[in-house]
Amino acid sequence: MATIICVDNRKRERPWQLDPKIATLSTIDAYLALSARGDVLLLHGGQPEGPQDARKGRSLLIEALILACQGPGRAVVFSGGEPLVVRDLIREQLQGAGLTEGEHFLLLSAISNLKEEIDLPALMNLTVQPGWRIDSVRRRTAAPTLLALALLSQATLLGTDTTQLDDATRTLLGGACAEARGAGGDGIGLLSPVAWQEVLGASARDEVRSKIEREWPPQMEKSDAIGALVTAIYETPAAFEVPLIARAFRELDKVLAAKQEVRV
Amino acid sequence: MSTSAVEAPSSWVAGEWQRRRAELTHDWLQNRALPHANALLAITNGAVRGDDAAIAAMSAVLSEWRDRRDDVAWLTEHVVEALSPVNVLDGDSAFVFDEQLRVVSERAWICRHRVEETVASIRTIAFDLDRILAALEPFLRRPQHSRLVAAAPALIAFAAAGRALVEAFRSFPRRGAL
Repeated sequence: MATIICVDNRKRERPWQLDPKIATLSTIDAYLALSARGDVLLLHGGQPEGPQDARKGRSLLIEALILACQGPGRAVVFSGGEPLVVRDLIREQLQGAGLTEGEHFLLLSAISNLKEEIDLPALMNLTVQPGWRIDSVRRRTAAPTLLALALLSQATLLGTDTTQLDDATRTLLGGACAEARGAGGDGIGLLSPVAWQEVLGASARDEVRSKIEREWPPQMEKSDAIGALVTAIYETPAAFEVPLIARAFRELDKVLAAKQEVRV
Repeated sequence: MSTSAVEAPSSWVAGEWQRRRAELTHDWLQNRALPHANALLAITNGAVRGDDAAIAAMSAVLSEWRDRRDDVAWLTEHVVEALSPVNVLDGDSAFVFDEQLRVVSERAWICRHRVEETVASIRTIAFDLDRILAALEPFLRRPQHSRLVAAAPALIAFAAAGRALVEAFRSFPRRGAL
């Protein structure tokens, strides 16, 4: 388990709440005074005392980050004033100290929600080893194969007779508004597997399967519906029907929501 | 609002959108304009002291809304192009979207996340801020302590509209969220 310490003088204003196991200090001085600084520092880049001189011409903010990144330690700077100016300065100074962005530190300027940027549960459960990368816990915004399959399912469902869909799926698709926009013949042709093959790479069914396997979160159960959907696309288009697609879409939505990782 | 259905994939737009959003809501509103509006109100009710020079400096930040207005227009115009999950896959050679699939998927995403409703509400807030700034104009032209009390209602309205604008931008889905 990684030990995480947060320094944030504006903790009370945040739209997110950190796990109580993450100790939060309000000043950088309090962090620097610690005898054991933990494995990861989450530091508010806009700390008012940040620009003050520490030593060797460094600011307090830079000093704390360099100390945090010693050995297997890592740091995340979040929020922080005016990113166009501050972010480049921090990056330059940390790189000058031999630290690498992505491996040792992350600069997340002007974010809305730290929990959307960092997978904090994964970070807390991480086993710290030499050379580990802090960007391994950065949330991304989707896994390509799963996202493509989900978009295809979504589009196809909107092109079908939506009375065949259960209420939960209809709501998931965007409700009556989406149905009205998807109707009118727009999506009828989507029931042909040709379009699906085109998007997923027509010649590579096994490649699609292996990509799904790679992108599937390890802690989540495999989905029979998605396996059947891929089989239907490539082998048995007759089995390519609305209930199957709806089940697969719900599964994909669940996985993408849990994973919050659609590769950019 | 662009749906980007037939436009070229643009990671530049996505990056630019995030940059402008951060400058508008984080740097300007949350870290400058709202704290300064609140500080001016605190001076009005005597909770904090402030001379005419400080009042003028804080007022100048509120006047910057006129420059920020174009950013709001650009951000609402390009939100789909910047955040749509369909565009996240652009540039990945493994996925070549059928145009029909692209359009239907994107429309479903817009409906599901109520993107158009959020855009409409941002535009309404922006018009409100225009009106509020017009009401503040006499004070902003001569930002003095003696004129603060008269400006207080508009300052309160500015703070409320500013917070609503931050919240509205926060309610957009993350880029690529299905």
